[in-house]
Amino acid sequence: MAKTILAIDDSASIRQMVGFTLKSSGYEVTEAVDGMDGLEKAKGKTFNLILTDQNMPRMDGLTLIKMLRAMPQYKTVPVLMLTTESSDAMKQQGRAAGATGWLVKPFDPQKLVEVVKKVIG
Amino acid sequence: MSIDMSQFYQVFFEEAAEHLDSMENLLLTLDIGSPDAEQLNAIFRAAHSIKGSSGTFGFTDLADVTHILENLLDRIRKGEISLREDMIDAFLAAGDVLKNLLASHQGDGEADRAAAAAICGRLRKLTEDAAAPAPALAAPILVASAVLPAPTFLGETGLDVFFQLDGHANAEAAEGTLDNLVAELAGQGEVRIAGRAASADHAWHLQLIGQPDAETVRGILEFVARNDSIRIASLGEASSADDGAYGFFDDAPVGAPSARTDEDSFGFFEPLPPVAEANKPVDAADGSYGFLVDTLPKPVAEVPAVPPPSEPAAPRPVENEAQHEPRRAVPTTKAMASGDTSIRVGVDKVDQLINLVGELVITQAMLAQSASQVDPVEFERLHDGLIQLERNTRDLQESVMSIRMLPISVVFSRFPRVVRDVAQKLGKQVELKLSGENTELDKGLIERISDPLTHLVRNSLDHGIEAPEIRAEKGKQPVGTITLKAYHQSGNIVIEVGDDGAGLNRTKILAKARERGINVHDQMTDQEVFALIFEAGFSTADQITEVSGRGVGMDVVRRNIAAMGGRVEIDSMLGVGTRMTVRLPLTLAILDGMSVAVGRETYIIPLGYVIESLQVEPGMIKSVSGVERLIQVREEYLPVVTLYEIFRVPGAVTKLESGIMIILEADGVKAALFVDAMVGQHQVVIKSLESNYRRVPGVSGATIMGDGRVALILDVSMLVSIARTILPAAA
Amino acid sequence: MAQDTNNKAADQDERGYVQEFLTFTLGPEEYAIDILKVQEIRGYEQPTTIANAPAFIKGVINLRGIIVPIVDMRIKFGVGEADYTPFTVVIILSISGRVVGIVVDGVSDVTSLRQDQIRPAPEFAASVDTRYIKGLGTLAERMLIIVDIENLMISAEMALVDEAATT
Repeated sequence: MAKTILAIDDSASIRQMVGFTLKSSGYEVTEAVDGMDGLEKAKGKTFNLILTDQNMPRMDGLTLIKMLRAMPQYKTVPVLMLTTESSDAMKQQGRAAGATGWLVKPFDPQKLVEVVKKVIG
Repeated sequence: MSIDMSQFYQVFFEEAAEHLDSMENLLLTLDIGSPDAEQLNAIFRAAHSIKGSSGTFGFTDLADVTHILENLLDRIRKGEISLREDMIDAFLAAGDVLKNLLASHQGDGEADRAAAAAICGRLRKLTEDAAAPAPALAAPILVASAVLPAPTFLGETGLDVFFQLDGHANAEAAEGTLDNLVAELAGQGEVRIAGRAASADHAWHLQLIGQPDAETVRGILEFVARNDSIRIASLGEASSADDGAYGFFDDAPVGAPSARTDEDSFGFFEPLPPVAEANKPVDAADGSYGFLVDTLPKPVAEVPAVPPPSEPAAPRPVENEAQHEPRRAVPTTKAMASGDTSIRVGVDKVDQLINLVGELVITQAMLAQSASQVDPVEFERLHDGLIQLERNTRDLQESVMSIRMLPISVVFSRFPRVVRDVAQKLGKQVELKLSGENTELDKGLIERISDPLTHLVRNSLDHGIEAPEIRAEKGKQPVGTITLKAYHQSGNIVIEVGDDGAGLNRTKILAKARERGINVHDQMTDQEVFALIFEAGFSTADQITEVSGRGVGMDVVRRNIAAMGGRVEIDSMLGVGTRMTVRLPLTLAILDGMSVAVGRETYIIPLGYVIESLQVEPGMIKSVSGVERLIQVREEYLPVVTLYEIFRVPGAVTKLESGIMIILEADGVKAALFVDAMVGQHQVVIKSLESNYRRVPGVSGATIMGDGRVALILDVSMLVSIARTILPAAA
Repeated sequence: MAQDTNNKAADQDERGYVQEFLTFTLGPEEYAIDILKVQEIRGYEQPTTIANAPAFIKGVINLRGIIVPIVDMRIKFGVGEADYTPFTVVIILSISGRVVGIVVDGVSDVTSLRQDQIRPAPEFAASVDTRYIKGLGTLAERMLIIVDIENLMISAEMALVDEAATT
């Protein structure tokens, strides 16, 4: 069965690119437009991996990650942040929130697949 | 696997354009003294989002500008730099540059690289200047952080160079070393700093453009960098696995057990910096986050249990709240979550649908006509069915047309910027009031009304609103008001551009008209006099100004509006103000028309121009130089336009008393159109005559009647203007 | 035209390419046009007159929702009688993305001509510019006047296209 990924980004173009890329690699991808939407979609089922943008309207990525980690079924599900910066501060915030790792934007599709494969195979 | 990124470009273009628009709107409503945190966040997010996606899709020029923009915005929203008027100017200018770059990527015009470089410099300077008074500790680093990764343009050759500086705990020392290094490397090619190390644990990323020799470069680097940290790759080919492009937190959940063991072959599992080092304030390191470290590191396991609202107070509570509270949508921006309830469809598909419905309407009309010839009692069910069909067809048509409808706010949204820029240029103070932004009209009209409306607004700013001193002298508020108002009225959309400025001076306009050799007389109504400003080459301004005197005159405005099947009227009161009223059909595809017969032909007159129709009675017709040219309608003498003469229609009624006069008004001028008979009123589907034929003077389009025949739609503006030329001086 | 003939490359022999033409009559004369430009053939119906148009432009008709101008070739070429009977034929042409109908006396047939059956047209005075006569085709006793219908229809003298669009 295909592994499921929830991809959250407020940018439609990034969302499409991520969705298309991962689907092309055989994953089943659900897209969400911001943290709130992501949380809503995450509640319905348990995804194998969550990819989230940081800066989004309504609910940002860090908040989303914290909320997810509070849900029993997401205690151990890997969450990767898609972020435009890789500063220590960001990493500490991400780690504190419970993120598994990060991927710096801009990234290319190959890189995305490479990282996702590393996490969920 | 290779993914063709170009398939996402269109979405990116649309999204970036939306972000730029919302950014501009927000900037224009921002209260500079005490900017709203939500608005600042939304502006930042717009820049941030463009940066993220443009970088991903390889539009580095966009990414470069937004990067600097975002940096400054970020520091403003965090309260590190206070917002100033000149920053708004710069942000707006940056928006313009971004729009230009965006357009150039879409094949629309040339990218203005000079402007892009200039705005980057301007924004950088604003950041530096604003940062200068800040505590000495932060300042140099902040300045440095604003340095832009140089743009890499396609086709460039060179090297990507990554390295960590040897033993520099402090950023200032690192800067000095780097300066020397850059000077040294300059011999190898153009050096660009593509990524700065946030700390000694991080890699620097330089780009050498040209034909640098990798070994020589490595030799230079080995003096200053940790030898094991140097990585050199051809430009753009660097696998960034070990440049920190991604990574995993080693103690956070990771599904794949092999993740940690891959370390050697990939080397990207970058552990967090040791706590001792991290305890330094990091907020200034790259200028984009503002937290102090000691509040943050916590065992990961604990965090999930704590719901976000009860997070421990951070040193800057306000900001913390902004980070963690779900953000309210800013009212002026579109709700983002609308993704699920709408679909994107190409305009061509919608147009095809509209065409098909148009055909259906015609077929339905044909059926109705045929059925009217059979006995309604005998064919009762057929009749009922056809009535039902007519109703359904109309409903269907209306629904389909509504797909193309957009709110006028799409056009109005550009005016805050226009008013601001023009008022600034003219040294005037103007407040813009908008109303009825949700009034809908056809997308095609939206696109075409934008320029004429802009011209009217500029005209009001330039010639209407007085300078603040003059307004004060007249006892008016120094701040003038321009009102833009849209509403629906009897199947039309009405757009008003009003100002509380000087008003139009009747005497001055008449004098000017005489000077220009335009045929005028003192008995002309105010409407007629004011309409003169729409004449070609007419300008009431004492001097041509940069704002409105740009060759495109009000005559073009009127012509463009007329070409859309609309008209424009002026009301004005001297010293009080002026109101220009634009009336447009709701759509370009359907028109309410009156059909008239001339000889064997049927013509359609757009109903909006028709004032009344009347039978000619003896004594109404007055002849001028022996030719019957005028008709007296109550107090007015109107020129008579005989359609059969103008169109040379054979077999038409020629005796004026035997036909019908249709009184028309276009562009503030009335005329009587003589036809054989009135046939009826219809909604007609407008068809282009020009797709297979040429433009015909006096005809604005064609339609298909119930019997399947073509009827031409009259160009009333043109016919009325013919009337004026055939009319000798009426005075 | 080159690619039209190339399409027929299979029919090529040593005497040149073979091209198919629709032939029609105007009075006693027989004309031929490239079959690929013909969209359909229909009966004549009274068009809606267009004000101040040249006499050979009869007006416009509704062809399934499209407004199509109708040109009477008999008037334009000054051949035959411009009368309209139930047998009068309109050839609907599709040319450079535009649709135009031409009125002719009758359609004869579809004929294949090899290049060697086409002779250059001699210079002669005619109501139509010889630029638009591509040649004369010989078919047994018949002489076919081969018209470059595309360039003729978009030419300024047909007045079908706005000046701005032709230049």
